[in-house]
Amino acid sequence: MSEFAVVGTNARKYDGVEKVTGAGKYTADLNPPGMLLGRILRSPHPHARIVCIDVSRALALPGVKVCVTGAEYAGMKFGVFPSTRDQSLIAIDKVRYVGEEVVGVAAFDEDTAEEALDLIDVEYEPLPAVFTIDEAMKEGAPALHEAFPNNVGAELHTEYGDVEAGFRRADHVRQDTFTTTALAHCQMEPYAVLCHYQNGRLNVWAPNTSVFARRRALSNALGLELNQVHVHKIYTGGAFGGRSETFPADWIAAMLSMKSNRPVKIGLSREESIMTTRQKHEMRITVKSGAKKDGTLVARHFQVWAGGGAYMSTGPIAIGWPLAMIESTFRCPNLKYEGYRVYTNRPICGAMRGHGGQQLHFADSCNLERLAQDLGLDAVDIRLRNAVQAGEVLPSGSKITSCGLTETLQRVAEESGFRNKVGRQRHLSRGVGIGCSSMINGFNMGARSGSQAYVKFNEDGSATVFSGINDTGQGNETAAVQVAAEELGLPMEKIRLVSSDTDLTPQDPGSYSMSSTFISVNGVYQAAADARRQLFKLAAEHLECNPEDLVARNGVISVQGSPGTSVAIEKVIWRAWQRGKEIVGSGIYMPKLNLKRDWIAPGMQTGQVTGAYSFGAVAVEVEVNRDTGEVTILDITAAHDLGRALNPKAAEGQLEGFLAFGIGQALYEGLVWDGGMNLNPTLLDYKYPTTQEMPPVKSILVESIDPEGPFGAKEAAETIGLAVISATVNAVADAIGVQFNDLPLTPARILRALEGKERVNGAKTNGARKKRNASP
Amino acid sequence: MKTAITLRVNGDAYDVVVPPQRTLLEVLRDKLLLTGSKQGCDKGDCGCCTVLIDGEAVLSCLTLAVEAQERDITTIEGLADGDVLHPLQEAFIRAWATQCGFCTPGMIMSGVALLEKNPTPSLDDVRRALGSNLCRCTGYVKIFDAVILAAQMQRERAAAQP
Ligand code: FES
Ligand code: FES
Repeated sequence: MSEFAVVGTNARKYDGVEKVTGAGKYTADLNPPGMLLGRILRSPHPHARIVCIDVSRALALPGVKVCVTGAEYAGMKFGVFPSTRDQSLIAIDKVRYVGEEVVGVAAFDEDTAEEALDLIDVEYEPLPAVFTIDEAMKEGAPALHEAFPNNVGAELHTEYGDVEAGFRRADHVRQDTFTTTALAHCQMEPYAVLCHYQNGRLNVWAPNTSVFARRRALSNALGLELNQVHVHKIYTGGAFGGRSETFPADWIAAMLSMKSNRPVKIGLSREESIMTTRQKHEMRITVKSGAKKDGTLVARHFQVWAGGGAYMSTGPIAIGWPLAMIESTFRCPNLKYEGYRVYTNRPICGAMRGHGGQQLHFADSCNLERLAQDLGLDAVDIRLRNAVQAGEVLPSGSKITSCGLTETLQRVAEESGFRNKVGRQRHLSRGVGIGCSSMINGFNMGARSGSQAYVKFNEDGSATVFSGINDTGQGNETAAVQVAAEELGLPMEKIRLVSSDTDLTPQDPGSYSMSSTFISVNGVYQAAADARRQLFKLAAEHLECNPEDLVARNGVISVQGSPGTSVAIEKVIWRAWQRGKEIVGSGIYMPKLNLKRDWIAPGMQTGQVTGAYSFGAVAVEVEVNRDTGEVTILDITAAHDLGRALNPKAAEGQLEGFLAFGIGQALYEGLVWDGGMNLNPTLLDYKYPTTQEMPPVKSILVESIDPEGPFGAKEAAETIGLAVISATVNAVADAIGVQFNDLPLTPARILRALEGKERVNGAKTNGARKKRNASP
Repeated sequence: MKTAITLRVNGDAYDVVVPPQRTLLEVLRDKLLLTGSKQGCDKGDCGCCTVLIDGEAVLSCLTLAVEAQERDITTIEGLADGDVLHPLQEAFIRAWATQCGFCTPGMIMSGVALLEKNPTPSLDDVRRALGSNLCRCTGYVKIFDAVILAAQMQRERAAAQP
C-alpha cells in the first residue's frame, strides 16, 4: 500500500464536472442585469501623434450610453514595476502601435457600440516608426518614449567569475547567433473583461493568473483602496503567461462602468486578443562558449536583444529570467550576460511560457550541441558532463536543493534509443535530437512572494480550504485539494476549495513563474498541517495517547498500529465546538529567497533567486520531406523532474501540453508583419499544432523529492516546453545535416536551406542537397 | 428586419425573434443563455462552438440561427442525464482531457458525433474527427485517450442494458 492515500493518485480533476458540462463560467459567459457592452476604437497607425478626438457624433447615436478617452485620465500611467510605468491608461497624445486603445464606448448592445466606433473622429499626425530590433537601435532612429532616446528601455549587465580568463583557458571556443520571432499565446479564450462599479466598489471579472496582481494594478491606477476592488474568481481559458497583466481593456471597462454606474463587458475579438493583450518577445541571441577538450564548460558569454513592442510590460523579467535558467542548467563558473530590451512600434511583448527563457534555451542548447560536434563529443555526454547537481551553489550564489537533471537526461537517452539512432538515419532523412533545461519555481515578488491559506471545518467533518491559488487549467486546484485531503486525512470529496478571489481568499503570488505547486499548494499544505495539529491534540486527549502516535485517513484519526483505537474527525470537531474551542488551520509558505535580488538592477543578480529548480530533458525523432520541406515529428520521449508527482495523469497532461507548445514554436509559429501591421492574427493563419501534428509521447516523471516542496513536489513540465525546441532543431540537423539558427523551421526555410539559400551557422548553406544520398 | 423562429435545443422549444444575420452561436449564448458553447474565433477556425444539428457536428458560429429552425440541436448542456454524465464527459474527466476547459465543450460534441457514427474508432479516426477542434493546453494526447475510453464505456453501458 502506498504511504499516501491521495497524493500520487490520478485523482479526478477538481473542476472537471463544471468543465465537461458547460456549467463553468468564463468572463464572456456572464450577463448581469443592466449590462452594457463595450467596444474599443484602436489606432490604425504604428506611430502617430493624436491631434484631436471628437466623440460627439458617437454619443448622439441612440443606444450609446458613455464614451471614455485618455484625456479624462491624463497623468495616470501604468506598468508592471513602479519604475516601468510607461503607458497611459488610454492613449493620450500619441499612439505607438497598430491596435492601441484610443476611445472606449459602451452601448446597450454590441452592434450599436461597434457602429459608434465609426462615428468617432480622430485626427492623427503619422510619425516615423521602427519595427525591428536593428531599426530601433540604429543611430538617430525615432524614439518611442522621450526618456529612452535609443529605444533601449531596460538593460542588464552581469558577470560571474572572470569570463576573459575562462575563455583563455578553453581548448575550444564556439560562437553562434540565433533569432526567434514574436509569437502569440492563442489562449482558446479570447480576452474579455466585465467591470461593475457600485457603491464605491469596483467588481471585476477577467481571465487572469493572479486576482491580487489585477486588484493592485486597478487600485493604483484608479485611486481606489485595495479593499474597494473585488476581483472575482472566474475560469480562465488558458493563460501561458499572457493573462498576467492588467490590460487597457480592463481600465476602459472600469471607467465605462464608473461613468455609467452599470456593469460593462468588453469581449475582444480573436484578432484584438492576439494583437492587443501580449505577445512573446522576438529575440536575437549570441552565445559564445569555451570548453575543455572533454566538453567541460569554462566560460560563456550571452548577448540578448529582445524586441518588445511599444511598452515595457514585463521586459526586465524577459531579459533577466533567462540568466537564472542558464546558470542552473549547465555548470559554468565564468558567465557573462548582457540583455537589452528594445522598444519597437509593434504590439506589446510580455510573459509567455518560460518568458525569455524559451528563446535563450534554444540558443544555449544548440550552441552546446555544436560545441560538442566540434570537439567530437556525444550530445548526451556533453550535457551530462556539465549538468548541475543537487546541493550545488550556482555562480550567482543561488543553491540547487533537489535535482534530477542527470536522471532525466539518462532516461530519455535510454528510452528513446538516442545513441543507437543518432547520425545513422540520414539516408532516410530521419534524425534524432536531444535537449534539456531547468526552470525556476517562483521568484522574488517582495512581500507577495508567499502564499497563505486557511482551513475551516464543518460539523459533518468536511473541510473548506481558502487559498488564493490560481488555476488556468493546469490542475493546481486539484493538487491543492489532494494535498489538503492527504494532510487532513479526509477523502477528497470532503474538501471544498474556495480559491482566487480577492475578497474571500488570502494572499497568493499567482500562477506566474511555475510557482503554483511549490508555493501555493505549499501554503495549503501549511494550513492543513496546522489544522491537523489541532485535530490531533484534541483527538489525543480523547484517546489518551500522544498526538505524535496518531494517523489520519478517510476521516478517522487512529493510533498508529492499532486502528481500533480511533475517533472520527467529525466527532473531534463536535467535541471541540461543544467545549467552545475553535479549530481553524492557517498557514503561509514563503520561499527562502534573496528578496533583494533584482532582474536588472546593477550588481543585484546574486543570492537565492527561487525556492526550487525543476529539470527536464526531451528526445525527438523527426523525418524531413526533402521535396516539400515538411518536418514530421515521429516520436517524443520526455522526462521531467517534478519533485513528486502529486497526480501523475495531471502531470503527464502538462508535459504533453508543453510539448505541443514547443513543437509549434520550433516548426510552425511566428507572427508575420508588414511594418507594424500583423498579417496573421487569426487561428487559421497563425497555425499552431492541431490533432494531426501531435506525435506519440512517452512521458517519464522523475521524482527528486524536494526538501521544501509539498510532499516533495515542484513545478510540473515547463522545462519540457523549452527542451523540445532545441531537441527538434537538433533532430532536423541530424536528419539533413543543416544546423538552423533561426526559428521556426518552416517548410520554406527547410527548402531554402536544402537549396543552399538559408542562413545557417552564421553562413549560407552550401550543397546540403548534394548530400541527399550520402550514407551515414 | 427580424424574424420569429423556433429553435429546438436539447429537447426544449424556444421562440425567439432574431435578425437574419444572427448566428446560432450568438442566439444560443446571448438569447438562450446557453453559454456552454464557446466562441473562440467566430470564423470557423477553432471548433469551440461545435454543436450537433440532427446528430452532425456543426460549427454554430458559421450557422445562421434561421437555418437551424425545425432541427434537433444538441449542445454541451444537453448531454448529461441529470447527474449522470455522458460517457464522453465522464471519460474527459477520468483521462484528464480537460485543462482550461475552453475547448472542451466543442471537443466533446465532435467526439459525440464521431462515436454515433463509429463506435469503435481507431486513434487515427479520432485524430481526424477532432482535426478542426483546436486545443492550446493539452497537446491532445489525453483527449485522444478520452474518446477511446468513452467508446469503451459506451460499449460497456450498452452491454449492461437489459
Ligand atoms: S467559434 Fe466557431 S469555429 Fe471558432
Ligand atoms: S483545455 Fe484549454 S484549450 Fe483545450
